[in-house]
Amino acid sequence: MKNKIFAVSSLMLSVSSTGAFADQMHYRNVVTGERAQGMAGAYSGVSDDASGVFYNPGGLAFAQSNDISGSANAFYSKTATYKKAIPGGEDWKEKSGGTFAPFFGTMQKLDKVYPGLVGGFAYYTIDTELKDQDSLLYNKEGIARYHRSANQRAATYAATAAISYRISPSLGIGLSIGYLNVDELVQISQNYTLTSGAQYYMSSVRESLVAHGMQTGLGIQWAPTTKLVFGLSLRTGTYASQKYAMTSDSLVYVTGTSLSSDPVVVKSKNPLGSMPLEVRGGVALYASTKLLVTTDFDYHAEVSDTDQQATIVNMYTKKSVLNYAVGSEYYVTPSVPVRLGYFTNKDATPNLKSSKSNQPDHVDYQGASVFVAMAQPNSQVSVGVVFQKGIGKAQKIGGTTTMQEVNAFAYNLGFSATHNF
Amino acid sequence: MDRTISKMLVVAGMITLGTSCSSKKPSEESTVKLSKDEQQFLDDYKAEVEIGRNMAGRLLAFYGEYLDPGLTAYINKVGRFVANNGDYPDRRYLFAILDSDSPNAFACPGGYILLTRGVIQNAENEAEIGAILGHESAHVGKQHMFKTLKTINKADADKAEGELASRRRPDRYSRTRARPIPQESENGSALAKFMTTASGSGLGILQAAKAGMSLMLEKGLDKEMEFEADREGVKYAIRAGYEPKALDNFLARLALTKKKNNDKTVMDVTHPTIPDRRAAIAKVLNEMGADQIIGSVGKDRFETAIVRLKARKKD
Repeated sequence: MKNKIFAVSSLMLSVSSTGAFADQMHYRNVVTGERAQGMAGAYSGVSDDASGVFYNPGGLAFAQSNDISGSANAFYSKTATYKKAIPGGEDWKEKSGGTFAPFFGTMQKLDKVYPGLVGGFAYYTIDTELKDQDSLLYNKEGIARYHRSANQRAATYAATAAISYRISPSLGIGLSIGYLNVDELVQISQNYTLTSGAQYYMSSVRESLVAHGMQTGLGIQWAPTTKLVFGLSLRTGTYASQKYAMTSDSLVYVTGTSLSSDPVVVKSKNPLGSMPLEVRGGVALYASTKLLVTTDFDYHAEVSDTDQQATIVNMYTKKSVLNYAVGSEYYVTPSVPVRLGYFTNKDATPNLKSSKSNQPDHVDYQGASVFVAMAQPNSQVSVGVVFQKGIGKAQKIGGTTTMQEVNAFAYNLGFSATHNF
Repeated sequence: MDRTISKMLVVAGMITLGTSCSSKKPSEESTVKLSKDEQQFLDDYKAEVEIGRNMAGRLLAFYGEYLDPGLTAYINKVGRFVANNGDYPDRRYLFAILDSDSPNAFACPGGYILLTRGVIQNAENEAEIGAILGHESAHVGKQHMFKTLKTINKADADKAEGELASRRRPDRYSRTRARPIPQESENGSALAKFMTTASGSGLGILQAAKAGMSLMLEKGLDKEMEFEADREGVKYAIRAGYEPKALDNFLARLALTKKKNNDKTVMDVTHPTIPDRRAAIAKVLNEMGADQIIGSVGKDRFETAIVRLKARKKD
């Protein structure tokens, strides 16, 4: 019985310690930009609209016109299924969903200030999570009743300004500087009662993470021929402040004895470590006026300087990640472009080791995007979906080396509009 | 009162009635019966105003507006005064200044007249501005642009639109990146068609406006229309009391400046040559016995109005 109590209580603790936070460990959870979204973010060889502020400021120099672009509240949904994680062999599911405004950007040609100069500004959501999950289980392997209530709100967003200059007809260069904000809060309360007697367990966990930082970027775009464009951008930054706090409290009641201890409090001023260097590169092939094919890679460097004072804080340690994307755009009619894309969204969490316990989830995703747009002479409206499917491993039962298979599925319904002026 | 003016009054009455009665039921709206001709005239007028407004917006977006409220008010005063002395005083005229050094003026259907800062900077007095605005108001009154647009079919409009778009693309790299030129949506086309069916143009408002832009910036109107606008503009300005040779003087100075700078502007492409225009103007002045007319030059008022513009020039 003690083992069972341990297992269940560990399950509860592990929920907060293995990736309950918004996904700091994946870099392509949100594919941003009106046109770029449809092409799965394979955009560093294009980037000639407001979303170039994010993908490659060098591409802004090739802007066709001034534009203002925005994505209306997009709906997203994510479900992660932990195989056989519940005692008794049942699967455990975690769900989240909600709406968010993924992108707003504007771009202005500044030829009157200096010929060839283009300025841009964009606000974009990098990651978001809204969870409100209430779970109630009965009669599972000696557990009479298990109740878990999880609430989470989390967002990582950036506001960035960029300036770009067309050095020659075939070469553009751009700089960007932006503000990055991370704001996350998780509150989970759990309790269970055993079937064998008057024994119960209660716990509550509250985690918060707030960080502010600055990012700077450099982008270049070069067209060796009119149909082929290469793009390359670098981005790095530094956090001005980071603040992590976790409070965990629990109470165990066994046969007339109530055992409780002072709440566990963990605080850190460096939970995220440094901001990873990001390198993004790609090629765009303008096959015809109707067809555009693009491919991209993006590399995020390793982050190993996170706070080591507590295991629970060390969960943001990241390994280097290399993602790929390919996208295409085809104009079925001059007014109806269709965009398709494929991308990877790999996990920066180190792979789970069989000898260790309490390791965070590791789930690698692959995704696709399908968008259709309605183009008017000075505007364009796009609707579509980005979906991702992930497989990986997790240790949902804390304190043991047991691993579970994880299957995850997420989709994001997008609605965006761009106006040229 | 000729037939045109009486038609205008019917149209004005219908527009007012249409606006004020827009919430009434259909049965209540049919109190005024229009003849087929009157309905045609009303539909044409609506289409003309819509196309002109769209074109004016595009020109303002293309060049930018020169913001000097005092000078704009002055140009409106002079322009309306000359137009009121023309053959179409019942039309509505609105004038604005485009922020461009290149001397040119544009008459959009419906009475939207835009002239560049370059015109004012090249003028020496109010009489010259009056004659230029007379030329443009003649284009509006005689519906030169609107009539031309009615003769354009959809294929020509598409071609013109493509040519205009390509003109704005600065180089081959940007041309490759350009996406196909979108069409109007079916709903938009249906609305435009509904609004313009009676005009017989066969083009939507948007398409007509784009074709009009191509005419203004690339091809120009029929040369005879330009000669007619010169002749009529000179007449209107003389009727308004301005110096008869004002337009001729302006063109002569413009020719000298252009020769000196060796530049070629939109106006050179879209208008007859300056010597040809001057010859045609000389002929009409001769027919009118302009040598015997002493007109006002309006130098002082003009100088006062362009104080800010001159100060800008010094910057």
